[in-house]
Amino acid sequence: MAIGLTSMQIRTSIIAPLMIRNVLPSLSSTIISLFKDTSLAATIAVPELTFASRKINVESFRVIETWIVTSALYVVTCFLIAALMRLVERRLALPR
Amino acid sequence: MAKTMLEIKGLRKTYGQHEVLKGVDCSVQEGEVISIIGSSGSGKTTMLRCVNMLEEFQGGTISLDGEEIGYHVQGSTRRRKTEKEIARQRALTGMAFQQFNLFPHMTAAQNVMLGLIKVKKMPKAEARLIAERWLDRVGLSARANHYPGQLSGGQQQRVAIARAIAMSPRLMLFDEVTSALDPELVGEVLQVIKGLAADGMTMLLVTHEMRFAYEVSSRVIFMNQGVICEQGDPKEMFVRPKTERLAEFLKTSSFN
Amino acid sequence: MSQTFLDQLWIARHVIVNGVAMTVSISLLAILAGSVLGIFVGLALVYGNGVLRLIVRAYTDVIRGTPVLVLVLASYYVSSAVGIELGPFAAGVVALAIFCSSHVGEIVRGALQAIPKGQTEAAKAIGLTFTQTFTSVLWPQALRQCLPAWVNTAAEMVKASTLLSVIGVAELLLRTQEIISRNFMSLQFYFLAGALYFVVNFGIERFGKFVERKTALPS
Repeated sequence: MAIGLTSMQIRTSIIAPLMIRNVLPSLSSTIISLFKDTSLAATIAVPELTFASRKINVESFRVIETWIVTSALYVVTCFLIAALMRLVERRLALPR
Repeated sequence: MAKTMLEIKGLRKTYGQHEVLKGVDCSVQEGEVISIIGSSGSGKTTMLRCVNMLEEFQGGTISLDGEEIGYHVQGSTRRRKTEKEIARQRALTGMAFQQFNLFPHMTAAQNVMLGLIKVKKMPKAEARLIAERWLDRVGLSARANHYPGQLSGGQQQRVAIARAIAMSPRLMLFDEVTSALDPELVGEVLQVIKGLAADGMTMLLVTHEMRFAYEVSSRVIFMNQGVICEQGDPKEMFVRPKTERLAEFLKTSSFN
Repeated sequence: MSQTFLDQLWIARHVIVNGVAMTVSISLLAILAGSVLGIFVGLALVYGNGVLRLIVRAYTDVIRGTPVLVLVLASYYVSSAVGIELGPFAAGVVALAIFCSSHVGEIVRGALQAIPKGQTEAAKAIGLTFTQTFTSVLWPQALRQCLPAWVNTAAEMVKASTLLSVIGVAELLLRTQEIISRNFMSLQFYFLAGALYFVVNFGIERFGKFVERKTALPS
């Protein structure tokens, strides 16, 4: 305010950029949790990954492989999301 | 006839690629009070921390009251002593730290008693008596049952000193114990140290308090870049420094 | 059939109580087993040698990267496939305990690593061995540090117990669904179930705050 910006300008040029950098870490973990929680949709018969895995497990009797692959798919995706978020954080980080 | 309490010969330490101590020789007699001064990076704190094996060292020997500290050296072979041995040797020295490092979940008395109970295997009642005696000695008997969070910096440091000295060490090590204190609290700690010196405790102090070093030390060691540059009676050294580096150092430090 | 919620509630009271009891026992077992295992996980992460740490890290990364439902289903199907007769209750509790251990392990690791190095140095300086340092100086401080996050994990476990309904364990959610399938009062009974879970978790958090206050250091 001391250099004469309007409150709208303050919000977009100063607060917003800082705010985005600040929320990235917690946003990252929220996104990852959300991704894992999509598996819960299987309980109401939404045909997502967990639902499909359960079907495959029951129909094919290939139990161990099914669940290793399912788990691996989730773990790898979470890892990729985390890596992507870290990249974004680094790109936006202020030079030190 | 005063005996040699600490003998350091050819002490070498490297930290990665950087040689921090480049061959330090030093002999400390019983009852001596030695101040170690120097700019940061000179190796003074590292040398102090080698004496009680808080730092490993790669060359030379340290001998406390006749026994080799930290490593068995036989000719050219060198073997690190067992953790148990090293722990036992650490109990022979007492150390006070710049950041006090009191155990926050214990009262002042419990802080002082811990070593007595666990290391010296004393019964609780006996340890309590000794703890109270030393807390009284540093002027804090009224605070024996207070937690560190309830004490000022100067009080915490005095408890820390009591904790170290209650173990009846042969040698006391002080690592810049007043550097983290507000100026008005420095005096009470220096008073305690002066009292201990008067009682004849052998002490090594790394310090920036030049006035203190001048008044209380029997000898001052000036370190520079990993070696002892000059040492002697402070009353001589500070007034007529023999080396240029010491003269430089004295000019930039807050003495006189 | 009596149409008021309260009448239906009275009729179903035993079923609901049984459901709550089952939920509590699942949660309690999973929290206890998971916490004990989690402490070892945390210790391994902080004090283990390179190989052990790698293995345990992989373990926690995989467990935390997998949805809890997948863990429960995997535990149920895989155990019967390899011939270990666990049954839904045991399989579910095992899965939840493993999930809990990965979280507790991280909490313990964080708490131990948050303790300033000066504490260990001061303990060494008075001659304490590593075991003495750990039990007298480090662990008491770490335990205090863990408490809020651990209470959070305990509440998560209560919520995760609902997943055992998927493999047929008769805990509160499944019981609620049974009741609803008879009287079709889904809104009321789901709301009741939600309220009961809230009460249990609220109790856990209150208990946590109580312990925190009791163990706080005076300043």
